[in-house]
Formats: sequence, C-alpha cells, structure tokens
Amino acid sequence: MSTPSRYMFTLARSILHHTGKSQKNSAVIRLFVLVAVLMVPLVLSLSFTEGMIEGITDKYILLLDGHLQVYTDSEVITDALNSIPECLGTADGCTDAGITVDQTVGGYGILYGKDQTQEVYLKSVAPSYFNERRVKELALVTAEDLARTGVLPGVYLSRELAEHFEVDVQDRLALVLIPSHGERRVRPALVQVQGIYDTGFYALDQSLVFMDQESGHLLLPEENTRTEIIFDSYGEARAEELMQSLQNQVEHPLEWARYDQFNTDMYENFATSRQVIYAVFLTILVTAAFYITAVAHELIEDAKEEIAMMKVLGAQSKHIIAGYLLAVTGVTALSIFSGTMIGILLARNITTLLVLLKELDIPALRYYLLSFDVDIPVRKIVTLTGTLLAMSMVSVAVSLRHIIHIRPLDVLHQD
Amino acid sequence: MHDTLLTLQNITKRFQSGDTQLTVLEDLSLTVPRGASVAIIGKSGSGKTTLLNIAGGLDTPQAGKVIYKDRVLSSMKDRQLSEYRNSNIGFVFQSHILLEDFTALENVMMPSLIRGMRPREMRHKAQELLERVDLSSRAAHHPGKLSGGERQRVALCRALINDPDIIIADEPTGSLDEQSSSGIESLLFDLVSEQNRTLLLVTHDISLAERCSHIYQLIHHRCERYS
Repeated sequence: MSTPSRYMFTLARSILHHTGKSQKNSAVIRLFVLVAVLMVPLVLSLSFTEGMIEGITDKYILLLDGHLQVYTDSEVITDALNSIPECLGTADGCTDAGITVDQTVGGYGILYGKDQTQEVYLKSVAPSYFNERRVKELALVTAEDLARTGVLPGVYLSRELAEHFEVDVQDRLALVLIPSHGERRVRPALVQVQGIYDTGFYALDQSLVFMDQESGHLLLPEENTRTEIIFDSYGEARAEELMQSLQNQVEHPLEWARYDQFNTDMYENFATSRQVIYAVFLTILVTAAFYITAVAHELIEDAKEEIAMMKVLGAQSKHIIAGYLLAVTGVTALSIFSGTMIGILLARNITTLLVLLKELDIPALRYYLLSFDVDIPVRKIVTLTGTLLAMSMVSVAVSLRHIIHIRPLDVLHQD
Repeated sequence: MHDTLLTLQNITKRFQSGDTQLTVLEDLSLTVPRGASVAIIGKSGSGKTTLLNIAGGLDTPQAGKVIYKDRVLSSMKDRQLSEYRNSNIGFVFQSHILLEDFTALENVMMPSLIRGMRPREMRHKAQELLERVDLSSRAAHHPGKLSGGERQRVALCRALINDPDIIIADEPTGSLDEQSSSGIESLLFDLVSEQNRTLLLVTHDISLAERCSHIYQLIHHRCERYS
C-alpha cells in the first residue's frame, strides 16, 4: 500500500469508527440506514415492474402473436426454415435450433350463453400448440385434447369466460362469427367447451378463445391464416436476420411482422412506464446523493479541529479529502449493497404478496399480472446502484473541497 | 560550534481587527542554531505564538522571510510546506491537541503515517517512544482516557516520531499542574538532548526558559536577548 493510501485508510477507518463525538457516529449510521432503506423499494419496484412487463409481454408473444408472424402457410415456412443455415445440422431441424413454428387462423365472434354474450377473439390452433412453454403461461385448469367432436367445434375458454357464461367442460355455447371482409352473412354455430385455462391476465382472459384447428379452417376467414414463429434459444434479436434467410429460400415476397408491431399501444405504454419509472428513480437518486453530500459536510464540520491538526502534522488536503471520500463512499457502497440485497430478497419472495393480492380480488388489480416469475434485472440494478454511487461520489467530492479552506491555524490559539 | 538551522529575517506580522491594524511582530530577526535550545519569553499577547507559527510554516508574515537550511519558506508551495512541517518540525502545543478518534499509539504514529514510513518500523518506534515516557501500558487508550500529563507525553512522542530537526513547543506545561509540569519539562529537555534536537520554546515561565541555552524576550514586537 502506498504512502497516502495507508494514511487515507487509517483516516477513513477513524471516520467510520468514532470513539469521540456521538453525533459523528449517528451521521454515519443515518447515512447507512437512509441509503439502504431507499434502495429496498427501488430494487423491489424495479424488479416488480420489469417482471410484470416481461410477464405480460411473454403472455402476448406466446399466446397471441408469436415473436414473428409470417402471412403465409406454415408448411412453406417450415420447409424454408429447414433449409436455412440456422436449422441445418441440428438433430431435429428448427425445433432443436430453438425455433418453433405454428400455423394459426384468427377471427372475431360473439359467444352466447344462457343470459350473457361476449365478443371474443377466436384462435384456431393444433393440439401441439400447447407445448411445455405455452402451458407454463396458460395454466390449463381442466382440459381434453382440443379437437372437433363430430360436428361441434371444440374450444378452450378462460376461467373468466367460463364463470361469465356459467359453463364447464363438455358444456355448449352458441357462437356467431363476425363476418370478415367481403362476407355478407353471419354464420352461427355451436361450440363445445373442451378445456378451461387461466392466463392470470385479465386482458387476455376476457377475450381469447382457442378453437380446434379443423374447425378453424372451416369457420374462420382463410386470409387470417398466419405462421407464428417463437424463438427459444435462437434469440429474439436475430429476428430480422432470420427473416432475411427465410426470404432467400422462398420465391414469393414474404409479408411479416414482429411482436411489438401488434398491440403497439401496449408496448408503447410499457416503454413510457419504464421511462417514467427511470425518471422518478433518477429524482430519488439525486435527492439521495444530495443527502449523502450533506452528511459528508456534517462530518467535516464536526471534525474541523482534527482536520486542522492533521494539517499541522503535515497532512495534505488532497489526502484528507481522499480519506473522507473513501469513508463516505465505503458506507454508501455498503448500504447500497445491503439495501439491494434486501430488495432482491423481497422481490424473489414477492409471489407471496401477489397471491395475497390475488385473493383479495381487488377489481383495480385485474389489469395487472399477479402471477409472474420475477427475473431480477441485474443489469438495470447495477446501472441504478452505479449511478447512485457515482453521483454521490461526485457531489461528495465537490463538498469535501471545503477541507482545502480549513487552515492549520484554525486549531491553534493566537498569542 | 553551532551552524544555523533556522533564521527569521526582518519578520513583520500584522492582524486586521475591524478598522484597525494590529502590529504583532515588526522587523523581527532571530537565528536558531542547530542543536541549541532557544526560549522565547514575553507577556501574554506579545506575539510569541505568532512567532512560533511563522517559524513552523503555519502562518506567513507580511514582510521578511523564514529560512530553513537555505530554503525560504515563503517560496514553498502548500504541498512543500506540509512536507516541511511533517519531516522537519515536531509540534508540542499548550493544549496537547490529540486526535480523539485514535489511540495513544496511533496519535504518536500519525506524523509517520502521513510521511509514509513502513508500518512495522513506525509502530516499533512509536512503542519505543511511549515506553520512554512510561506510557507503554496506555498505548491502546484513547486520549479521552488519559490524564493531562499523559496526553502531553503522548504529544511529545508524536513530535519526535519523525526525527524532526526542530521541536517547536508552545507553553508545553501551561495547562498542567505543578507535578505534571515538572515531569514534562524534564522529559522534554532529556529527549531533546538524547536525540540531539533543536528546541524552540515559547513560555512565560522564567525557570523553564532558564533551562535553555539561549533566551530571547519578545518586546516591542522584536526579539531581544534576555539577560
């Protein structure tokens, strides 16, 4: 350890471990507690918000839109996929490459129960659609295989809709398909409930109805046929690259869209929410940095005599400043770390709170996701904590320049 | 034969007090030979401490210069002045100002810590000094647990840790009782003599001043030989 470092560490240690004035100890303790207490809700709310946004996004992608939608037959896409470098050489073609392809047909209709009606979005899918990854997002409560039984189309309803229509598996509902472009007649049909699911997200549960694939081809508009592509290990960021590869394999031009090009209002809301949250966080961090600076200033004011004495003994201002900076930064870093760890711990256990909230059945919370995996946003937390540490270091360093103006003579009497 | 260690040449120091200017030192000159013990006596408010502060590089005069081994203090930058105080001067003050958050041993080590001495070396030296002043058993105590005499002995050890050329002592026994004063006086002169240091002492106690090889009286803002 070099000369000034050893002195700086000794000085920093003495600042943190006072034996003299109790108000110095209390300033350090206040600093530690305030920053830690501040970090807990910041980390918790960041993890919660990110988890919820990611959770809702995943539900929309996996159950409604896919990562990519290509407006052509899935066989064409599957063939093309199996010829592109991304899928070549893998044991099971594109599935092994982390790309899942499903053909769906969509359309709007009105369901009629005994006393209730509800407009719904019908989506016809193959039984293979409900793979492990989707079932995680869907929670099938009771279900038979989704298939046409005789002349009746089979449907999966959400628990929300099942309760709305007071129906269960095997029950029937009337369906009127809303005519698509060019059609003049409404087409009534009976459907049989074959399964009840629960996505945990009201916005989907109140309108999404899955229909068996065969019935979908018969009843839903052909022009609504699309191929949904889901990326698993492949990586969402390479969507454009994948589409280019696919286009090279197909003679006709492919029309396609990314997931964020559907439900744009929702994704823009998410982006705005994130920006607002970051702006609020930034304001809180600036306030915290200001408080940390005030504590540093308080420490200097309390230690004026000691600082002057150290100058008498030959200590240079820059080394005293560094000692104080080290002490204040050390406490700040430690309390940021402690607060962050507590925040992460709470975020990891937030499911308990969410279950409680769900049980309370508060209507205002219906539009939020109350069951999702909290994936700790490590990079964002590091940015958040790093910003606070950097801001406090800069403001404290500026405040500590006051030490330069403390003169050795301030401690001595004049005769 | 003594060679000159510190010279104060034509020093003038004034303080502004409201609209009036108070002259404390005027055209004062003083030579401190190496190895000598120099006492400055004078009435309260005569400027004795101001003189020591200027000699120790803690204050600057309006006119004149302080020369330490051919180096003029007024031409030094802050960093150089800090190094000058740290390496060449050992301060002992009346109110034995110790750092309350450090133990007696750490207080003694502080100047060497600032200087960058090797930890083992400075600890060993500090312990030796504390032993020399019969305080080895109090090394781990903080100043708040020490008596006035003990604190002044710690301050004395702190002044000597960096082997400075000059010990500047400002009324070193001024705040102590008679018994402690006598002990500290003896220690001060013994240690200065043992370690062949130069002593620049300010006191109003004639008997203490008489233990020095040179005595000056601060009178009419100047130093005059005391007889």
